[in-house]
Amino acid sequence: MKMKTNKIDKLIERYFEGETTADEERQLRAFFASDAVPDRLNEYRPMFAYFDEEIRKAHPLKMKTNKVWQTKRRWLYIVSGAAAAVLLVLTLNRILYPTDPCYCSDNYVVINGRCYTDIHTVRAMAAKALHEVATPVGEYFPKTDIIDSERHVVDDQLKELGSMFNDNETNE
Amino acid sequence: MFLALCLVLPEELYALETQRDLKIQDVFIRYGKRKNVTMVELSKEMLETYGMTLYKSITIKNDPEALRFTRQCLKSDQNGARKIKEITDDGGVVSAYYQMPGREKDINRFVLFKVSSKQVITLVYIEGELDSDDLITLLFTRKDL
Repeated sequence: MKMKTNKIDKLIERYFEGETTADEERQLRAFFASDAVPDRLNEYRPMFAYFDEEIRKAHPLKMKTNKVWQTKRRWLYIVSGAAAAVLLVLTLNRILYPTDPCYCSDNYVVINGRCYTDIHTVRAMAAKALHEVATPVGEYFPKTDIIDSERHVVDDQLKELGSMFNDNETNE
Repeated sequence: MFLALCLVLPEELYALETQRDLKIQDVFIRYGKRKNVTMVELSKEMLETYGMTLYKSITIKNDPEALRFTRQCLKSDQNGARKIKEITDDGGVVSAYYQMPGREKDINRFVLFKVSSKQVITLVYIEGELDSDDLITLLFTRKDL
């Protein structure tokens, strides 16, 4: 503490001699703004407080810019942290639940849980499923089917009736 | 962060995008890797000739629970869909072609379903510029993909 006040004494001396640098003057102002000022130096406190205030008034933009930069930097840290966390989660997810390599392909077939990307196999299986689901024409037009089948039944019954009548006529 | 997501998850994002609003997507997710199941996906240049941009199919053998689940999904997806064809047997759909409401203009989406007498379920999802007539032609001419 004593060393510090000795240093301040020297700085004050140099200040009044006009030999201090800008940085040293900043140190003086900071010192007199603190609670560590001994009683014997208290008389200088209002002077340095006044200078400090004047400097603040003269450079408000610089102070503001510093604050804005600090806020920006804080946000940068937050966003970077969030991005790192997301990447970590995704990486862990990939390690713990590896994606089947075939899903990286645009064309694939999975048969009994095994994946194949051979294009001929994929095409063949796709065609097979499509053919399976393609209902035959007869089934696709069921009404026509019913009409045809009913017509056959009616025709058969008419034939039978016809033959019965013919038999009856012959018997008579 | 967005860039990181784009770099790490392109296929996951694409998978989320396709069929996102359809319940039948769950059939592919739930049964796609199981035994007695064949799941196919074709996309992009492989399908250009047919006016399709995406083809997905799943064939499930001997799984009554899967049949119940698939019918439930189809029922839920029917809202707003156009029925091209639907055949029911004993109260359950056995064969159906639905045209689903499109997410984009000029992009049609179709869901085809059939359960055979041997209890083989076939579910197909098609997306592309083709219309219902093109689809019927494709089905009945039995072209290979």
